[in-house]
Amino acid sequence: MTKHDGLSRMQDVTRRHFLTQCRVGIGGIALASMLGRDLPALGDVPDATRTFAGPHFAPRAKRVIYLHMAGSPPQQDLFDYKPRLNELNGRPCPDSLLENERFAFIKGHPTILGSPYSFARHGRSGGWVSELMPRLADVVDELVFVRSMYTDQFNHAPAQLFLYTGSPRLGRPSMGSWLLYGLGSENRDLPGFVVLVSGAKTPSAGKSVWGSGFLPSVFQGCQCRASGDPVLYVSDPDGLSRDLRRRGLDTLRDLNARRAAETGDPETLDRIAQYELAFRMQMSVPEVMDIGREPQHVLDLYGATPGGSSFANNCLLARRLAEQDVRFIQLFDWGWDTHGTNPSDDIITQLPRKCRETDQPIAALILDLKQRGLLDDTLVVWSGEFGRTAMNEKRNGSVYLGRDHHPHCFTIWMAGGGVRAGTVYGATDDLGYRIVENPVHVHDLQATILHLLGLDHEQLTYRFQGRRFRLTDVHGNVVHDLMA
Amino acid sequence: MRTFRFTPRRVAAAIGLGTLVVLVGFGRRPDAQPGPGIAAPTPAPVDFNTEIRPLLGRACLSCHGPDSAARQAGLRLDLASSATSTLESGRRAIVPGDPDAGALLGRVTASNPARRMPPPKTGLALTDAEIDRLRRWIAEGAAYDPHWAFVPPGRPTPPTVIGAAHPIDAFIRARLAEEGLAPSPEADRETLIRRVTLDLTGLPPTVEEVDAYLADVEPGAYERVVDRLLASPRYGERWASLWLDLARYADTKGYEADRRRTMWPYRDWVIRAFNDDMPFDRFTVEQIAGDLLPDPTTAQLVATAFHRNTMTNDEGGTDDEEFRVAAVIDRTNTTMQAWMGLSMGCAQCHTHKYDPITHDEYYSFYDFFNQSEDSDQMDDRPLQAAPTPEQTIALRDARATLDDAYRRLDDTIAAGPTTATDFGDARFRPRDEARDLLWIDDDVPAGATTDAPGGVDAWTWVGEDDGPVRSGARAIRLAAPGREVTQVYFNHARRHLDIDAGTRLFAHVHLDPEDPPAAIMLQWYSIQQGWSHRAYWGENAIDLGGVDGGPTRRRIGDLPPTGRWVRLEIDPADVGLTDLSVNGWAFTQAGGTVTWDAAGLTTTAPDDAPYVHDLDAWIARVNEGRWPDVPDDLRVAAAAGLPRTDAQRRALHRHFALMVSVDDLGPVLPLAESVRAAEARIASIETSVPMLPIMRERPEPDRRATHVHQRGNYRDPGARVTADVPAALSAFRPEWPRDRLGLASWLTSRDNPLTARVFVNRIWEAMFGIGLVETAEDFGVQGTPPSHPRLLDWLATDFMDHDWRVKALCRRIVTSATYQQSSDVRDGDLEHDAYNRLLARGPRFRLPAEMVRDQALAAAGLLAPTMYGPPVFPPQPDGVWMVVYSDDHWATDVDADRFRRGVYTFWRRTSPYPSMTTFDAPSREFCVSRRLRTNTPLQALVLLNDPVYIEAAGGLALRMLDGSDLDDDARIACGVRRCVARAPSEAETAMLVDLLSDARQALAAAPDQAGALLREARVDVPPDDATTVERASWVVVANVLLNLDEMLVKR
Repeated sequence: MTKHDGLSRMQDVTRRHFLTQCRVGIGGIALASMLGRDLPALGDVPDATRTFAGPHFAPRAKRVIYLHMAGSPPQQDLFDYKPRLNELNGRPCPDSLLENERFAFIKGHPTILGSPYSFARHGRSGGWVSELMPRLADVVDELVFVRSMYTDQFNHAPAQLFLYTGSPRLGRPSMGSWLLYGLGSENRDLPGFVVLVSGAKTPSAGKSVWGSGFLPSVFQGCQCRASGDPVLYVSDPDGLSRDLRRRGLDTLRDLNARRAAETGDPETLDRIAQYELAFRMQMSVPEVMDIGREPQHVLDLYGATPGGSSFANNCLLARRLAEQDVRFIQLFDWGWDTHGTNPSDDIITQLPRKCRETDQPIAALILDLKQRGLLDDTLVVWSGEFGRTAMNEKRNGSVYLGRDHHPHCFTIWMAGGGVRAGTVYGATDDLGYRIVENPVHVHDLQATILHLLGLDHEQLTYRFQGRRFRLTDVHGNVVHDLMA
Repeated sequence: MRTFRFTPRRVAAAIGLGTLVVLVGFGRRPDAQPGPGIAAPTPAPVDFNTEIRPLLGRACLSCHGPDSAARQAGLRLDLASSATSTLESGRRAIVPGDPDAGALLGRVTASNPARRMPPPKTGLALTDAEIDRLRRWIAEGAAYDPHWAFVPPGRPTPPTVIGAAHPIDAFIRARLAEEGLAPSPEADRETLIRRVTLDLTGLPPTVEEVDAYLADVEPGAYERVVDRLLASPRYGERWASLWLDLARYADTKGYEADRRRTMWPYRDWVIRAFNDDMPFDRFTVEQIAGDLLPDPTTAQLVATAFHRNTMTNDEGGTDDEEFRVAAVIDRTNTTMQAWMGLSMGCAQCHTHKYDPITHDEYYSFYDFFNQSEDSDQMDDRPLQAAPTPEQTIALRDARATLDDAYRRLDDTIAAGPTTATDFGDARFRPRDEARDLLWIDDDVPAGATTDAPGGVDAWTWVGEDDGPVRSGARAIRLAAPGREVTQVYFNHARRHLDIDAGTRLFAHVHLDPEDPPAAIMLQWYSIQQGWSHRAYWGENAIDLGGVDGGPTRRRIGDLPPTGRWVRLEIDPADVGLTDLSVNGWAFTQAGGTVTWDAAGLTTTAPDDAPYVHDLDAWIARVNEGRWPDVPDDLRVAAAAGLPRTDAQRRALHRHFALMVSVDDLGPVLPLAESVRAAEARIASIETSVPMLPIMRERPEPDRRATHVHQRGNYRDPGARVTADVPAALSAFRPEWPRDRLGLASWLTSRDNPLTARVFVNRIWEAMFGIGLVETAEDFGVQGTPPSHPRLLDWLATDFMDHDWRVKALCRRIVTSATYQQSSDVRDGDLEHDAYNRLLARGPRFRLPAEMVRDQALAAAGLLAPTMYGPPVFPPQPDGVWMVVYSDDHWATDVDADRFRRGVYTFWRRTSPYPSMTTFDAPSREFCVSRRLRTNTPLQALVLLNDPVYIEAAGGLALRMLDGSDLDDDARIACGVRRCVARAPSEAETAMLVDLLSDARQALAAAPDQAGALLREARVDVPPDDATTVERASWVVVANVLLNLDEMLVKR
């Protein structure tokens, strides 16, 4: 048997193997993984959508940019305008707010905390936005606010896990992993699930919020970093030129191909392909991560600074990644946990600082996506992991103003891909404490996001340890009223 | 031919069953007798367990299964009794023998979507083949066989197969013959020694080991290699990795803060247990219940850390009870998962939908683990001191030294008075004549602490040459301008001055006639009253407290004459010291220059026990409450009076010798010093001994009441339950205690249907890439049936028959011809058996993460052989750890610790070592039975560019350059053999030589680049460009070798 014969025979086998998976879709991937077989890798498949289940129905969006404000912003000071809070400012809160409640830090009988910020209606839609987010107020007609979000969890790590994996405990796949598992990647040269972190800290729940849990690790989020290699080990060592790297890879490929012909192992061919993809990623990742390629007016629009590390840079990177058809782009920004124990975590100093850091870049992202025609099929989501209390936390008698964790209601917004822009969904009571209209549970949000991407949350399942798992556990309802 | 065809339709069917073995088992009972390989004229009877049970599980049981809360129409299809009895509707689902009489077939074939089962919206529709199979099964009598895995394994006799003497081969070949497949020939020796060395030790064979095996032409050469490997300490390190995934071992606590904690003594325990070939039943008992064994050893307590690997949540504001409950749930699930291959997690919230585990039974099982002391505390208590073997030896030596020192001390004391201080109990010999007992002369008393950090040497002294000295070699000199107050003082002298009636205090003073002070003062520190005893001469110019005219500040008289030594004497009663004990003294002056010397007490005590008293006097003071810091047992001994027991006498003697009379005890003094030195050594070892969390049972009166958590919510307690095991599994014998020890007995009992099967399956999976039961994590109804059920049972019972010895099990497997087959894929192999479930060829799959790393370091000659101890920090890119709420950071090791085996790498749960994760290692937050293998470009990036692998390339390059008289071909052969255990072919050598010469050419044009590459590879950069270029060129070649697919794959 000649080398060529052997290779083509195995390519044949590999192709058949691949086609088989096409036919069986998601189950095939599950089967392959249960069999312990190596899986098609990120973007390694010429037409990824054929390999995976593909959408269950026509998608409204092809990709997601999720902006997470880790620590959780106070809804009362940004989007959920409550004049009654200001009237009662400083008074002991009604007893009804304390019944059957437990708080992370509030002790005794707390007082109501009004918002120190003024609110106004903006845009044609007249959406309420506080003075802390002036730029965002300009694009309010692109947003749908959900003022009636709620969660089961009142501490950061479990609440973040709950939001992204559907479970407050570790070990489940994250939303981006589910999307990649269901839809595959559309870019041959980049990871399909990219994570960008700002504020110098990873979110409380750690990397599990972009982990693949029990799904194969090919589906986990790939953290791209602002300093050092944007993807771990993407740079060649000093002294090894691109040409010499290529030369070495040529020899490696030839040696591997010879062995593949001798041993007949199709996995060796897979590995050759992975090395070639790695070589391409060495070019494509640093390229897409280099915002220095952007013209000055775009940098100015975002307030981004090449070489730096900031939320603004990450917003611009998010647009660049969206342009490259990366499926799930997850931004985490640290520093929103405004308890009011000192000026660096209060709502007078810290909250405006965080708003200044994020307001312009977020508005820029919306505008930039829109003017490039990307907003139509990109879903942008902004949220924390829970809400904050109507009461001043006053931990240990602190004189700084701040709010404790509050799972019963919070506000998020979405834009782009198929959402009913310029509307508000759900409502809270006068004190912004409990939901009075159209509650949206975290599992409902997950179901809705999957739906916008063309996936039925009840059908996107994976069997593990004898059970069929899904992102929404055994819950979740798609909120059709949020869709255009 | 009844050969299996890999057709899409069957794959689609298999998807639903989640199994390939069902494909190969279609229409056939498992392990049918070997046949001629020709299709039988009529189909074999339908097998309930392999063909019907999985189908029901997939499509029916979520609404018609064990969970009564979810059950529809009152129908259970998992039980014959329910399926065949009359339902609420008046019909029967199944009438055995008559498919069309029951409702079932009508419903699964109904054309009306409202009647069709499963409901179309579930997407679980049955295929025509499945419906046909159901029909045939009902027609054949609808027999409900119990789930195979819940029936204890029998002892099958290996089939007789010519040429297959080894029982494993007999089972495997019988099946191959049935499928019409032929086994592969034996792998060549180089492949074989690499395979078995990797499997048994996790490391590649050295070139010397390969050569020795190739040269050994005597029979039994392979078995000799196997025995050598089983005896290697590397064996334990390799298999520990497998167990540590199940134990969810990590070096941090998990959750948000994810702080470090000491767990590594447990990891070392696992390695030792494997190396010592601890029987698996013992291994089980010690980990589950080592603390409940009679008189547990430290090692047995360390073993219980298995269940302290649960996460602890340090986040502020969390409810400790919530996370204690989470830990207990994790222990419940992990125990079932690790030992019995069952996932109980579903039953946490409701009765299991598929496996016969009820909601109540879950919490009965939970109760076994709900009685331990730990409760999600920051300090992770209870903790156990777990000295390393080295520390244990050091401690034993130090304690022996201490015992020896005590013995010599006791002997010396027993030999009689060593000085005039009499150690007898009642031989106090008072003397009438008063004498000066010098307390302060050239020095302060032993144990005293002075006002200055430098001790007594920080004081100003004068000697014979530069000033007056009254006694000894030097005197204290103090000078102060004007009327400024200055002083020196000490207190905490170990031996006290006991002020009895008839004693007087004295000191000698010399005032400078040129610079006399305004006042001088003596001050004493009594144990009882502190510094409130002052006597002064001259003006009342020193205001350091006290009331003038009383004992706290008593004027004794005018200043003494200047220019000569004067003895000052004070009646202790004047300063309130009667019957007190003094352990501190101060010399004070207002202005002037003053010299002090020779101070102490005038007493009637014996002159050769000068300062305090003898043992009896001390005992008397203890009894009078005038001696501080005496341990309670000594107080009891002192108060006991005569006669004392020997132990009491010895204790008092020892304390007196060591703590009271520190000097002037002649031969006792050095002995006392050696006791102190030994005690200090013990203390210093003990502070370095790791403390790790262990399991400890709450005492009986504090037993927790365990309730069912309704819907999984611990705040919503349901019925009270007590420790028990699920009824569907083997019985819990009455003689076993209802605690973890009883549970361990149940797990390791011969009746337990799962423990041995699950474990042998794990070892099989590690060797062959896929277990006999592919779903190693699920032996339940939803898992895949075994590919070779009789072989599995044979191995499980053989394992138990051989005392649960893991090494014997490994030896069994690797000495089979099945294991030793070539793994080359032959024509038709992929079509017949793509995933090699039938084992017509040898195992071939990518190595696990730890082996990928260890092998590269071994090939490079860098691997550090050090075993055990705290985790290590090999190179990791900056910024990978972004830790909240602490400054903890990754401090890369600079010494050989950077080249330790992967099993020793620090494991942070929220941020595991990147290259491990990339090669599919889990985060170790939870028990993981099976690592999925992926093949990604990120893996290529690790092997190409991770500094660890660049360093390995440097090491390998230097190895290839060893030996001055070799040509390039020989050097390349050396490198290839180090990496893949075989010599390269001519063609391969030529390709690598081509690369080498291209690298030389490219780098010769850029010697700076060559130097840079060497620095990255941590290879010394030679002074001349030619050598630099040469070395760097070999680094390029080594980098390619370390990336060979062949190297990543066990084949």
